[in-house]
Amino acid sequence: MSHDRPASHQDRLLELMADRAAFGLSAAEQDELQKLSAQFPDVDSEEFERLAAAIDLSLGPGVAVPLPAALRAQVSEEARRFFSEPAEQLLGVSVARRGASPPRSRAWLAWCAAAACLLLALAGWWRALSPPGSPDLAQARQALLAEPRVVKTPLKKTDPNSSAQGDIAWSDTAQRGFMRLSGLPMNDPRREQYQLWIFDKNQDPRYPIDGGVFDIARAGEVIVPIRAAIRVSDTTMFAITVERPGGVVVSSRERIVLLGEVPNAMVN
Amino acid sequence: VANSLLLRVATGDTVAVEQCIERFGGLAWSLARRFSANPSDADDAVQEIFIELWRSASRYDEAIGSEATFVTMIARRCLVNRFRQQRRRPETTELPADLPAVVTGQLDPVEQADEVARIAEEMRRLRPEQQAVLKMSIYDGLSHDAIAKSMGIPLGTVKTHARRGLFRIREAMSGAIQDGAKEGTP
Repeated sequence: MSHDRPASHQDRLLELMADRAAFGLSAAEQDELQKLSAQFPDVDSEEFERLAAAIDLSLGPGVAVPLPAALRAQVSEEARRFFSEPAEQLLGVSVARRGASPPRSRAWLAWCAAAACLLLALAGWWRALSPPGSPDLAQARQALLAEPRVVKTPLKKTDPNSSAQGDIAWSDTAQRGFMRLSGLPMNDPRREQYQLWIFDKNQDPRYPIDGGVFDIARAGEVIVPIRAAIRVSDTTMFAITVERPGGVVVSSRERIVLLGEVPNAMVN
Repeated sequence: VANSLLLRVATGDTVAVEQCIERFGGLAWSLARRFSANPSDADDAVQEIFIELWRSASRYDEAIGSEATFVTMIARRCLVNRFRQQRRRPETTELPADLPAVVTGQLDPVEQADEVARIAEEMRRLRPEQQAVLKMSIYDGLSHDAIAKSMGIPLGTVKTHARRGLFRIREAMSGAIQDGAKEGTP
């Protein structure tokens, strides 16, 4: 609890929150903010960002330019795709949704309850038709692997005592990919989540591309679709870390569980 | 049944999703244009903002702010992260004049009026240098370095003005201070 911590630490946390809202933070400051936030869970870490948003609105003209029709159509299409994804969650893998926070609203919980019912209804059907895992994701992965210029990279564990293993199939061309993982411990998404990082030859290695936050909800092999935050142009390495719920913008890389370098020979 | 549009979005209500795009599309586009170097960047940013909004909608709490403020916060965070990953600050850059600039109307004035008016009032009560720094950093997207050069003051002073300004508004908004009771209202 915060009252057990030095007041100066809380003051520093508030300073960093204010700096983030006004200017953004460096990677080192972001790390410091994360650590201090963990010490003061009762501090509303978004408070200053909300203030900055309200200030932004107050300084603006109060009017909006229209969203161009083509862009609006794209946003609608992306939304349809996004909200059709929960079916994948029913298959034992929480889909990598970058920056997703643990669901908290009653509405969301209601949705989850409905989804759980559907899962129960579907479970027998899946078992009858399919091996463990997600057939559609497995098929989608196979289809991707058949495409030209797809990187297939084995993932190596960083802890010799771990049984984690897997591989990644990724296409810079299609901007799509899948992680195939086994042996990773199941995580409690309220405490921590896995996050994929994609290193790009054209990107500062200190700031790899966020490949999405995901959960391991069951034992056995799982396939997780990759969702890169920005366009990946020339992949060199993948890393999976354990981060706080919702993931982070810049990882401290303190808990890397799997790593995979991309050898040229692995490109189709 | 959730009354808030964003909480309905969080349930996957497709009608609410379309309403959300309709209501906040212009806001997201305006912010993306202001923070983007070119139209292509702005297009990509808007799509990223909405994906992030779909992910975050369940966290919206109507007790602590308007939906427009929440959407703006999510959008600003996306834009800052986006440009940080591209290794540059979101400096304000005017887009070409041929982009549509038709005014479509107020952003839900009823919802925003109270919160934004209070913030605007508190901004006016800040010292001029605090107002200037917050306007340049938050609205214009300038780095503290650029602000320091522009105002001819040290970097540390820029940060101090921004922090003090934000802290003062925060306190005022939470009702913790009386007008002018702290830090010498100009």
